[in-house]
Amino acid sequence: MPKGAKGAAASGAARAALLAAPVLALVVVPIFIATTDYRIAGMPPIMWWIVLWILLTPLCLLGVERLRPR
Amino acid sequence: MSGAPVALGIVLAVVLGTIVFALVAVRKIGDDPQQFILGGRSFGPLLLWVLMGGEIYTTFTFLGIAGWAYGRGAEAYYLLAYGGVAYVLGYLYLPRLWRYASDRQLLTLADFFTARYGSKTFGAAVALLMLFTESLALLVYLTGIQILLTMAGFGAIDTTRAVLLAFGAITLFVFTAGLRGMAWASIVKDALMIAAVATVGVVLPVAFFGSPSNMMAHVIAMRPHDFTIGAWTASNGKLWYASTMALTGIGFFVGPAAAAATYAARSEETVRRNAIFLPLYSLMIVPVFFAGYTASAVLPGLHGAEGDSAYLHVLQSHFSAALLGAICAAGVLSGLIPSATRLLAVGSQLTKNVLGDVFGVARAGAAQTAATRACIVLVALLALFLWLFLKASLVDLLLFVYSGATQFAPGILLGLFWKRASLVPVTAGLLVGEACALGFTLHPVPMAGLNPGFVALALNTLTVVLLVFASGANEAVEGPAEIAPSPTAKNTI
Repeated sequence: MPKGAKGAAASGAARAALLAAPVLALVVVPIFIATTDYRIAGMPPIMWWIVLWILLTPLCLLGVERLRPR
Repeated sequence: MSGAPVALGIVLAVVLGTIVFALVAVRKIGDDPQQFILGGRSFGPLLLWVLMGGEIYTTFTFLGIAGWAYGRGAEAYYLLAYGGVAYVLGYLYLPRLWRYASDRQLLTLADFFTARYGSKTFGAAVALLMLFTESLALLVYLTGIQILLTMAGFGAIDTTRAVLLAFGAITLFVFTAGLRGMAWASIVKDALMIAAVATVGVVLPVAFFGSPSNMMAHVIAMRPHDFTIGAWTASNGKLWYASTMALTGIGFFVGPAAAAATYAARSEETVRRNAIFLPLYSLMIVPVFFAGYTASAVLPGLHGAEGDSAYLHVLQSHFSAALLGAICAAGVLSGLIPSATRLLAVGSQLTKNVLGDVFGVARAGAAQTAATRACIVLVALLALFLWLFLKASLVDLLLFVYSGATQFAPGILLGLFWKRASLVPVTAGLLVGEACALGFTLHPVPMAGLNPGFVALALNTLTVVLLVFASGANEAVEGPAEIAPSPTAKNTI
């Protein structure tokens, strides 16, 4: 079943990406946006970005859960 | 001075009210250790959520985080962010841990080490080591509770005695009500805590600057350097941020209390759902940052642990004693409830994995519950004894607690995901990790800005991996053959 195998691989990759996204967004990205050149929603960009990803993390995990093979 | 009776009265009413509420909600606990230690493994999403939140958001959230916002640079944002790493990891391994524990009817986290690595001695050693690391965590809570009581008492009462009283009451409470009581009490604690941080995070900036946004603009203009992160290898620089994120994220759920909460879930599905939605809890930290920032503009110039309670000083001098009392009450609860769940987790490990598995005492039934209760009191006394003679700044203690406690992570994570992980390599890794964590804390050495605890964890993991490979392929047959039981496996041992 090449098609099924392909689908499984694609869903596996999507799940890995959804799991990696919050980690990279919170561990790596903040290092590069610790600046006071501008503010977003009143907050320094690093703070705004982290709050955004606190909200996005459950969505990513929900996506992983949806794609989980049963 | 006149505010003290009001503020302290509110703290007292809230603490007692929470205990009474939980006792009424629990009604009868009985003498079944599964009921007392794990709430009968019956917790649905709400109780599990508040129980886990109850352990995660503590006096450190109220004080330590505010202190970081008050006096540190942008690296303080790791406190807001590390949940992301933690929850992704938790989503991956907590359901598996639940399944492993449920299939074998494990009672404690040390049981996992005993079962997975086939050694009761190792399980007992882990239980004793955790007694040490968890006692340090209790010191952090006790110190936090004292700061909050000092604030609520306007400096007019003997807070050491007040802390002893509060800690005595909560010990008696967990002694009586077990984990189910803690879960119900956590509902009150979390609700109050959310209300408290939301209040200070809004009221303080609005009162002094009109809005949180104006406050941020003012604070950024006042302390521009505190919104950048230092060079890659600087202390508290970029590498420090990333490595501290990794360390704290990995250590988040590694502890006997978090394991007990996981085991107490009704199903694997509950654990999974919980892991998905727990991240939202981190939002609670945002208003604490606002409070700390406001205090840094209104009352600048405080240092060290003084900065932790800066915003409480502002509350004390500019707002009503009733508001201060309500905030401190929520804060005191946030120290007492996690203390109690830790006492229970550590006490049950001493009973099950040391007294029971090594000495053959109180191995089941009512005797096991009674022994657990006795151990709870013993651990509480030990913590109080240490606290009376060992006090330090909150954050430094927490970082040490964290680096020591996180060294158990490879044993759990590799144990769940890597069949070849076995007793000798994991033991060696743990020893290396703990020795390094302790050594780096006592004798700091520059490590290119990396968090020393993270370096210890890396050396720990490396030791395990190298020893597994060095011991050759035949090692793979040793140890329990099945790491992750199939979803259909219902057999219990």
